[in-house]
Amino acid sequence: MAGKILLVDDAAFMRMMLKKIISPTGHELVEAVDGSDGVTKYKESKPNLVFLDIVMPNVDGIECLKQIMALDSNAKVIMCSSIGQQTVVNDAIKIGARDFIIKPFDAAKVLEAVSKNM
Amino acid sequence: MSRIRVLVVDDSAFMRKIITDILAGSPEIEVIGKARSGQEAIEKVTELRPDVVTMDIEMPGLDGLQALGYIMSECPTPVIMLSGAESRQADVMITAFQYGAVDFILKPSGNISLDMAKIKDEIVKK
Repeated sequence: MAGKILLVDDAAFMRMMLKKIISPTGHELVEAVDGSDGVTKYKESKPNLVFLDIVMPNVDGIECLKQIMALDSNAKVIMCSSIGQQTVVNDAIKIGARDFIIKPFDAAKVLEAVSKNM
Repeated sequence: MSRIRVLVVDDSAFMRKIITDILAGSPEIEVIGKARSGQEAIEKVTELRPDVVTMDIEMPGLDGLQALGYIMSECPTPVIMLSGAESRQADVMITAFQYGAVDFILKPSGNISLDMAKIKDEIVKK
């Protein structure tokens, strides 16, 4: 069943890479350009799954995650981390993120995360 | 003046050697690392924080354009793209500049002086 996935990343390139990997699954994709946009788009589109970047201007991924979890304690959020952000990822998991993927994205891992959580 | 620290990315050992030799010919440039793939390039950029990266485009796995995209998003660094491909060149160049590449060098032989000139342009920019 097709659902909705929210992609939150300030880099258009990253959103494009995720879109390329996920779009063949047929899920509807919604994009947000920073943490505050992420929270707004979460409220608007009520996605089934969120891919959330960590380092972003304005509201960062951790703060965005907190706000999303406050809105919906069942939110399914997967953090997108760069190499060497293990402590931040641990914090995110404690706050309620389901999983994380490491950049550069491995298509198989992204699709696994999608199929596990959708 | 401190030297310009360069990371050389190419899947071919031969090309890495040639590029390194060209760069080593300049007293202003120091090659601080080499990477054989896009994946390795991203790791080394994060680890070594070079001043400039020379990036081959056609590599197996994560190619030069994707690596460029990741580097510009995660750890912005001036990247000079190296291309040997004649086909699709304009497309690839446009994409590379969209992603934030600072310059472009064609690989075919006889580009030694061109190479140096472009790298020097880059130095002036910085």
